[in-house]
Amino acid sequence: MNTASLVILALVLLGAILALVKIRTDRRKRRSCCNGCAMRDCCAAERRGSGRCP
Amino acid sequence: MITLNKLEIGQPAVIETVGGEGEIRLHLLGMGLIPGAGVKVVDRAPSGDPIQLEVSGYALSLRKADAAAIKVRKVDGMPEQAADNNVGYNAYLHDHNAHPGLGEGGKYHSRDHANPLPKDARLNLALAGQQNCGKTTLFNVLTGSNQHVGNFPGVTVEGKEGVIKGHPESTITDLPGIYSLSPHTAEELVSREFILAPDTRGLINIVDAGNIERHLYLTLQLMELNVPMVLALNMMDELRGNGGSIRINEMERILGIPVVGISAAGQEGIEELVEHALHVARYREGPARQDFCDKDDHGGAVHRCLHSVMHLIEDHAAAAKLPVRFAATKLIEGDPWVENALQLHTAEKENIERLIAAMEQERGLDRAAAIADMRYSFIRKLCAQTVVKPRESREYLRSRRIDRILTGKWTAFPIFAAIMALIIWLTIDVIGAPLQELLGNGISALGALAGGWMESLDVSPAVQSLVVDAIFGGVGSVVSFVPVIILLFFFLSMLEDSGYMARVAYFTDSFLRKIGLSGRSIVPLLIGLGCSVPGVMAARTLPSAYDRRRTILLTPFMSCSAKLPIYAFLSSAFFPGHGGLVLVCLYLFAILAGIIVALVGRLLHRGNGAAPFVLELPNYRLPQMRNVLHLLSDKTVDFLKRAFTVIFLATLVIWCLQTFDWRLNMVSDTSDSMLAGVAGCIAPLFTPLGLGDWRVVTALISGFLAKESVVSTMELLGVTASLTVLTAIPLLVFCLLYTPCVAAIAAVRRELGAHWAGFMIVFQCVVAWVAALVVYWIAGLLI
Repeated sequence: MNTASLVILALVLLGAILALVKIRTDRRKRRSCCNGCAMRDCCAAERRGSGRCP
Repeated sequence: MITLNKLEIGQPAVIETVGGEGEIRLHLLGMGLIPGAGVKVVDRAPSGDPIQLEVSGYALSLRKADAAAIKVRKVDGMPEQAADNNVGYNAYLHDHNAHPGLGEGGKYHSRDHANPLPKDARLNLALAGQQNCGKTTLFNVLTGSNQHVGNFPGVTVEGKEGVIKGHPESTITDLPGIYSLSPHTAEELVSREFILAPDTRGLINIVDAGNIERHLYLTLQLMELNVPMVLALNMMDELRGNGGSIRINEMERILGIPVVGISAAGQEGIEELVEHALHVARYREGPARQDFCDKDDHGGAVHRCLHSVMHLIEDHAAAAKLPVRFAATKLIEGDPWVENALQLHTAEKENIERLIAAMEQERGLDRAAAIADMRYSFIRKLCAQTVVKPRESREYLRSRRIDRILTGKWTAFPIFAAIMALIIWLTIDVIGAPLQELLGNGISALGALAGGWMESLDVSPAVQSLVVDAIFGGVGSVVSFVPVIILLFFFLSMLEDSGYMARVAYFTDSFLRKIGLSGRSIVPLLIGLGCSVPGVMAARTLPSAYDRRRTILLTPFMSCSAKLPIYAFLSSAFFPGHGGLVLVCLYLFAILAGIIVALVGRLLHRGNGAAPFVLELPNYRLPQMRNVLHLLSDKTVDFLKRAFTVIFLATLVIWCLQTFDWRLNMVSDTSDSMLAGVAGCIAPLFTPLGLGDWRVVTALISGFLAKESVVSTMELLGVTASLTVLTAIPLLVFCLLYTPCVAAIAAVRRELGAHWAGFMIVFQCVVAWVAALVVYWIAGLLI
């Protein structure tokens, strides 16, 4: 495998890692404390630590 | 006396009693359907159910079963609510709650009396109001944000936060629309907890000035929370245009909170509103009035009961950190959350029950109706003194005229079908297809360019295949669907913004209820025809978790536009000249399968979580292009984000499986790949359907990534050679019904959790397998 191949492969892998990180970050943001509750993205009260999910 | 469902169209009546129980009853009372209120049936849905009512000058739709619980007495004309003028002047309130006007900040705050927050304190404000009163429009104006605004109740399904422009020390949260602070829905419970949270410093309560009586019902409850608040009277321009007016200073004096007339859409009065809101929050100015009961009203039964309960629970409320007036009212209404929070002793509970029983007997109304009546009595008196009612609004009259056609008995469904057909035709054929082809060709050209460039650099064939086949081929084919998605959302948001969606929910409710759904489910299901991902997401507007789950699970039965290439490919190969007929049959088959599954699901799990269908029908408005464009940009970004994260990763995995064998050597023939190995293991499952070829199974597996790739895989592997007319039919049916793509599953996972997403994959595959088997047998008998 020549240098160009390695560079392209590294870029694709970097993209895959970034995509994975993005998915995980988004998931953490909307940690499903409130499944079934209409206020998505984790209810604001819970996120602020000042309330609980019904 | 007759029940409301039997009242003739146009016959005015007065409500005598509101029966029923639980959530629906409290909701009806909160919507202004209280004993003594005037009501008129203005229309019925084409099937006769639900009915459309006029209450307090606004349109409300209600199922006949729910209306049957309301008893009414016919009268000659809509009653004018009698109101004496004794709530108004309160010298104590006036003298002790003088609030600075615009530009007078600090005027009434001497150093001795003011109790301001520290200068560096963050001012967290909440924006609360009933559904469809312009909250999100105001939020966008306040923060410069681009949240989606719709003319359909319940558009805001997430709490959104933002910083008020020019005030970096402030945060404002747009709460979902709520009708009351009773715990009917998760939104109401969460909203009140949010407002009561210690770091919520203030509240902006936005009301529709044109429907002020009903909107003030929530205002009074918010005031009982004793949180610094400002009342924003929105749509004042419309009110003025219809000849109405509000004596704002008088209202401010009576309520004991700052009142500001605004027009969120016209950006009028915003500066004054912000100044007042930040002022009350900074100086911790709670509402000066929280007492809305009248000792002279019906002998003062409610007044005495409420104040007695307040005294009884004073220490418990303080311990639970709940405002005592709020706690007492909710306790009388029978709010279990407040009852638990107060931790009352048995003896205290018994005392309170005795007080309530005495009040019910004396007042002649049950507890919930008595409290609702107390609030509405206060509101009527307040409005009698401060509101110059507008004549029947032009917007309302125009909407009524349009509704005669769009929701007419014989015209509603044909017009709806015509509109949907036009949207699908324009989206998929006329505008969408050329744009998609253009984008697809562009991406292919880029792929070819990249391939040529890598060839010139002597890049390894494996890496070339990774870039050209996986990234440009896989992700690119999904990205090429952006125009179709945008167009579909454009048309659907136009329908929603105009107010038509609420009407569709209104006249399809009767049919959808028979299969265990709600009228509101129609919106996500229709969106699902374009793409299951936004369809699943649109289910958020449904008020109950039960309806939401059922709707999401049925969305995949609405064949999405990404499956169209499969139908077109197989039709042209096996049913040349009959593509249109095949398409219609498949769509109808999918809908039929969905109905059967819904009916079976309803029999197996009858569930009591279906929400009552009480829907306010907004006036028709011209869609605001700014809102529509904001929505489109949001959806595009969302779609692209998904394409470059979930779909990108899944493509890489499939490519690896398709390109290498078990010893990680690159294969020259795909039949040696890991994917072929896996597909070969699964293939026997498809033998009863006549689809036991591993290549068919591989194409179906690749469809899990994106439905469009089924066609490309079939073409790549030469599947058509192994198929006949007899096997093409079950393949079409299987493709129609089997698991949605990974993006849709990810959306389901986000909305319902991993277990429901997993269930959907298995369930859809089983349904598709059974349906394909049945079709294969039938086709075998006929062909």
